[in-house]
Order: sequence, then C-alpha cells, then structure tokens
Amino acid sequence: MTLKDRWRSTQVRNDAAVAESAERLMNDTTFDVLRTRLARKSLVVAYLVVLALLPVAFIALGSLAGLLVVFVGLGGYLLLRISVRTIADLPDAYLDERQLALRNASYVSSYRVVSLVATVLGSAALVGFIAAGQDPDEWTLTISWNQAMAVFWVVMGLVLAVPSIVLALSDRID
Amino acid sequence: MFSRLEELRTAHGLSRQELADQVGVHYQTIGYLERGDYSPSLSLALRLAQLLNADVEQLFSLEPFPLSLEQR
Repeated sequence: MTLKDRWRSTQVRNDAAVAESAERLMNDTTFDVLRTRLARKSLVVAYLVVLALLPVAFIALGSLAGLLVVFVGLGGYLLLRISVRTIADLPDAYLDERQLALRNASYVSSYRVVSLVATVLGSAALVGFIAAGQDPDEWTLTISWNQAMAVFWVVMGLVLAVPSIVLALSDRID
Repeated sequence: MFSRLEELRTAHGLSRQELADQVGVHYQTIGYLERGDYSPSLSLALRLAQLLNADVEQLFSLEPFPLSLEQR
C-alpha cells in the first residue's frame, strides 16, 4: 500500500467518524438539559468565568493550577459545543440550510467580537505604554513562561469558542 | 411568513422527524418552518411541496391563510 493509499484510507475513516459523530449529535436527546436557553446562557457565563480565571491561576498560583483551569475550560468548551449541536464546527455537508445560515451569521458576529476585543486590548496596551512615559524606541516587554501560557490559553479559548458562544446566546437555535 | 406545513404534514400522517428525514433537513428546521420563523430556500420549499402533493403557494404565503373549515 502506497503512502497515498494510506492517506486516502485514513481520510475515508476520518470522514466516516465525523459523519457518525454529526449524526449522533444532531439526533441526541441525552444532553437536551444543556440545550435550554437558560442552560446555554449559564454555560457561556461559566466558560467566560473560567477564561477570566486562567491568567489568575497561571500567574498567581503557578503552572499546575493553570493547567487544571485549562482542563476545566476544555470541559466547558466541549459542553458548550454539545449545547449548540456543534453547528459552529461541523463541515457544511452535515448542516441543513437553516443551520448553515445560522453558522455563517455566527461567524460574522464572532469576527466582529474578536476584532473588537483585539482592538480594545491593543489600544489599551498602547495607551498604557504611552501613559507610563515609555520611550517607544526602548520598549521592551519581558514576560514569564506562565504569563505567556496565560495569554496563549485565553486567546485560544476565546477564538475557538466565540462562534459557539454566539450561537448559544442566539434565540434562533432553540 | 405564514405556513400550513404542520396542517399538511399531519394530514399525511408524518412526524416532524419523518418529514425532516425525507427532505434532508434537521427536525428542528421543520419546527421553524411550521411556526413561520424561517423562510425556506426555493429548493427546500419545492421538495416539501412535492412530498406533500401540494403547490408551494398552498404551503407558504406572505399573507395569512384563510381558516380551514376545521378551524372555524
């Protein structure tokens, strides 16, 4: 079997697994308790709280505590995806036309949310540096590994989850 | 948008899930269509009409449908 054949066979297995998972999630009723409007909004709030706790854990309590919060956040992210039937993540072939329209609208909103957050944080950092009287030619930023991890996981957690968050807050997914 | 999808679906003895499976959408989408909360594409409207042996205009309308004899 050539490398190309192996690659194709892996792809076929992968597609079959995605199809099975999509079928299961679309018809799932086990987690319907997570799909009520209140449950979805509560999940979003809990997830954002965990994201806010991430830097605190990494910086104030250390790597292990940070990692623990990352795992809690990962669990929250999975529940959030289940609550919106992974509409934000599934390939087009597994969504019907209403779900596709909903997913596309959520991506537009997510783009706006992430742009806004990046603009606000970037501007705040810029103003902060200028207000602190720093010489732009001499600006240096030293961060510890834990601080770098905190920034990485918060950005990752936000970017990955924003489409599902937007969907969870939408009334058009009930 | 106004819809008579629920009326025609039940007249054909189909559940939302059965109808959804036959036209290739999620069962929630049928609920949205029945409540008039979602306007289907022309292709979906035609598939539904074909399956329920009706014209698209009998299924969906921009004006409220007159009450059927049973509803009066």
